[in-house]
Amino acid sequence: MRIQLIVGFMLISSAHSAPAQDSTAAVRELVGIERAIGQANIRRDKAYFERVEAAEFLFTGTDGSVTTKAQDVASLDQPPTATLEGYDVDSMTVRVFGETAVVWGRTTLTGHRKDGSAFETRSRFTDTFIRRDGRWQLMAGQSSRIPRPQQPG
Amino acid sequence: MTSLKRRLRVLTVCLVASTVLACSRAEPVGLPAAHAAAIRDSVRATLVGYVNRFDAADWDSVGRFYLDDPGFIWAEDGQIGYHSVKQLRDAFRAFHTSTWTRMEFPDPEILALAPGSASVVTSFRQTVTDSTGRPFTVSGVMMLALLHQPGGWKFVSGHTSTEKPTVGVKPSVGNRKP
Repeated sequence: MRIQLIVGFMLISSAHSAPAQDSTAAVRELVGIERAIGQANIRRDKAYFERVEAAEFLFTGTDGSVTTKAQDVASLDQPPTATLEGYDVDSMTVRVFGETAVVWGRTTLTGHRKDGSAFETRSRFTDTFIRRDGRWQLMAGQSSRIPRPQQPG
Repeated sequence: MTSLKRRLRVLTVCLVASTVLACSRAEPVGLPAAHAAAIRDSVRATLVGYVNRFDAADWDSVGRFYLDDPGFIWAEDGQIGYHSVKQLRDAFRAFHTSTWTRMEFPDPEILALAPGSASVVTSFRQTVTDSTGRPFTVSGVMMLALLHQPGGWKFVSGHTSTEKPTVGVKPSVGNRKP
């Protein structure tokens, strides 16, 4: 069975085997999780990451470093080197394959560094989720910086 | 042995055990260990098969490792590199016949997610040697999502970040670093 749908922007979902839940509901839930991850990053909400990341979680950051769940959660105990004020997620595409889902999207992060200078970074991410114990858990994610457009001349 | 020594020995054993447990790979919560190990072995064999076909420049076979899925996306360095498997296969076939390639996955970390589902996080190194014998290497990190299909494990998605010189200071904030 394969279901495709568009919810506002491009959202695609498909199920090759018996879906764990209605695909529309799964897509909405996963989109909600991605937005919640953004808000949790701004709040530095350790409890949220403890809950949403699976024990096996591996994250590959924009600098190519790979961190485990323990390292990722512990990083929130360290004083931040910048203040994250905005975390927008767009262009999300979601595909649900039974108990597994992949979400692609873009993030725009804005804030201020310790020296007061503002930053804005744009990245593209791919997240793999698994539905476990009735909820989606983040298993692996990778983020890479979106190249800045070349300035003419 | 005195009671104190016995307690110290027990404490030492507990400390060593907890250290080993803390350092070991987090096992999937939802899968029996044997099943998870079987998935990891099977995915590892798939990666070896992929590399063999890649090194043999057998692009039709390489293309069959990817799931024919209308929503296939392959991300590369912040961009969507390929919007479909066909696009990816065409790119493979466009490799010049006199080009020699070699793909390496030096340290694949294979996550058994669920029955028939896995993810791989690995560094990669792709060396291309052109007809003049001049090699160049592309390396970086890669994340793959795989599903087990009737034809074996298939790549559902991939995300690669190649190594590039970093310019400027990168601030560090939380989970998804800006």
